[in-house]
Amino acid sequence: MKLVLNRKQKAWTIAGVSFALVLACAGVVWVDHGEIEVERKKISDAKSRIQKADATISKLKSVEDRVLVERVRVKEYTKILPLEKDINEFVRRITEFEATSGVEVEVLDDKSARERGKTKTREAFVRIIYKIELLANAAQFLEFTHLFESYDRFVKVTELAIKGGDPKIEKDGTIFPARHKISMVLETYVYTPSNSISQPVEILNADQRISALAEELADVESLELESYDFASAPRRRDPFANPRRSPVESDQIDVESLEKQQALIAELEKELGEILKSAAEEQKEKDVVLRFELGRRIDARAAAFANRLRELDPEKSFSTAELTRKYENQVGKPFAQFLAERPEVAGLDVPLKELEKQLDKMRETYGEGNWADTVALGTALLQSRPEAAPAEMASRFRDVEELMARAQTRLDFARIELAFNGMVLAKDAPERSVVIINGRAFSPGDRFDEALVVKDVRPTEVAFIFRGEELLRRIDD
Amino acid sequence: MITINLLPSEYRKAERTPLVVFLPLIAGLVCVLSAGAVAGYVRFSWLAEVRTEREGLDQTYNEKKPRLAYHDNLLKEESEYQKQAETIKGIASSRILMTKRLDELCNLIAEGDAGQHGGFVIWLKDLNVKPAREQRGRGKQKGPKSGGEISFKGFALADEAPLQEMNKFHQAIKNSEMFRDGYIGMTDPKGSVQVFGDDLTPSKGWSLEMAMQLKDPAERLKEIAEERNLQAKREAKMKGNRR
Repeated sequence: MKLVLNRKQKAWTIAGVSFALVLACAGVVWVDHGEIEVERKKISDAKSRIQKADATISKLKSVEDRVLVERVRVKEYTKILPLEKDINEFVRRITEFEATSGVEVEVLDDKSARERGKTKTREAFVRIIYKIELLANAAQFLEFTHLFESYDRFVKVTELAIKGGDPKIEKDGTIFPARHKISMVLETYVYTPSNSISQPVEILNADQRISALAEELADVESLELESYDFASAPRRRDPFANPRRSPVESDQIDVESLEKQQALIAELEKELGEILKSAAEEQKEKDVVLRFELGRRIDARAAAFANRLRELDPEKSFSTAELTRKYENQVGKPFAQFLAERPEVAGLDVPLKELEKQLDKMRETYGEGNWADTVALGTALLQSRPEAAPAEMASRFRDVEELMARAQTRLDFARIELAFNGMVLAKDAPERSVVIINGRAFSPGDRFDEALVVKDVRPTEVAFIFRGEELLRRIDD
Repeated sequence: MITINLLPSEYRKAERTPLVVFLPLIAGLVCVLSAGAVAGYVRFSWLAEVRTEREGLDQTYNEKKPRLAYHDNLLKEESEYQKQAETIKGIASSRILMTKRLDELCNLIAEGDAGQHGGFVIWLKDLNVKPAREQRGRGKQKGPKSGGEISFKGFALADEAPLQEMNKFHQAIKNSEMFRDGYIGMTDPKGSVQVFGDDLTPSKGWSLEMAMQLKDPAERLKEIAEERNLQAKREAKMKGNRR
């Protein structure tokens, strides 16, 4: 059937179709407009992201500097922790400490150290535990613990149990001092950075940058472990040993005192044995330099030993004639014979200790910046210098002279009047930097006077060479 | 009059589109073409331009991404190193020098032997050092943080009044420098008298059972540092006054 439209209908049809087409176009425009709005929002977001990114990127240098400082800080801090090789050698160290202190290690459980690394962890610090069971008297045990706690790597006693023991008396009457059963747990940590930081970020010219970060690195303090100045007291009563005595014993001979005297002889005998052994090794040493060095050490040790024996009066120190005889035969006479063969030891005694004490005092005043005191102490010491000082003492006097000279240099440098009137820093060519001192301009390498040369000009300070030493003067001083 | 066109249809003159149809046709065409032009402009010019700009910005941002990733890695590394530095500091300050604590205790006992603090004879049978237990559960612990505990058992020996000896020892600990420096508290003395019933002297002993709470080492170091700062300030003030 053919559809026939009259004019009016045709006109309406055309109008309707046109309207529909226009509507369709409007729809497309509406959709596209929405799309444009979305894109504009994205543009705005992108611009803000880029702005943030630019701000972040502009801070990169300072972040890199901070990371470099942190790397140095952690490296500095971790110096207190044992290295892998220290852990591997720790059992040997325990054996050394055992021999030095006289304790008897019965059980050593280092399972934790042996099994480290077998289990995966993300922690940078791996805790290692040693369980030790030993026999010792109080003095020996304190010495043993002190050796760990004064060891230059961090070791901590976390648990401890002491069970007091009784003295052992043999059939022949020999008394073995009481030894207590002690169990202790030691703890340390190994630093394994790869556990937490797989690969450090590569920073260009990191080494050069670190050396340029002097100011920031000045704040990186090294971590110091608290220490205790332990002085062995072999004559102090062992609080874990039974102090109760029979009235007869108390009236006649104090058993505990006998134990101490026996222990003292044994200790002196051991010390002498080590000196004699070292002297025998010295004789065998073929290298002249090594022999000289070994000899120097033996002399110092023997001098300290001689000093100790001098303070010990056998008549008063030992309660029985038998013990006095034992001391004379096993310690006094062999050492006197040794001394007769080494006259150079004679001069090394109390004055050497006193000298070392004064030298330490000088170092302390020097460290505190009280250079005038250092010089005064040094002058007094040098006035008391004997004409023919033994080698050990002469070496200490050389240290005194050296320290005094350094303190005097600093004092003289501090007295030079330097007024900084301005500076120009040339970052790319530091040798072209200029500092104005007392109204005159100087560049690195210029001589201020005969003794003083400008070495380096820095933002906050100027480095000088004065009497061969590099010394700094702050600009704001 | 009626006129009839007898020409065949192909020879007849074409009829003009009636105006009624023609006008809407033209008007409709103009409207449709205009709308199409607008739609075309919006899609192929305006939208395309905006898209190009956005793609350009995306490209710019993508170029910056490696630097941003580098920055993020640096921050991550910095934070890790800071964490490590804090951990090492914590480890270093966590140590209680056991030599110091035991040496001080032995000294105090030896001082009692020598007649100081009123004189007392102490015989220790057991000594235990336990680390501080981890604080569990909610709520903050009251008082200073503990660094562990030293506990010991033994006897205060005397022929006459061992309880007095024990009290003197207890008092000597409380008044000592070592206690102020290293401990936060101790348990009250408890025990009972024991007559040994043998021929050894002293014949009696008061059974000791004491536990001393160690100061947390980190807190102790902080106290020492604060004390040093105060001392330095006092000295500086005194110097200033002298001037």
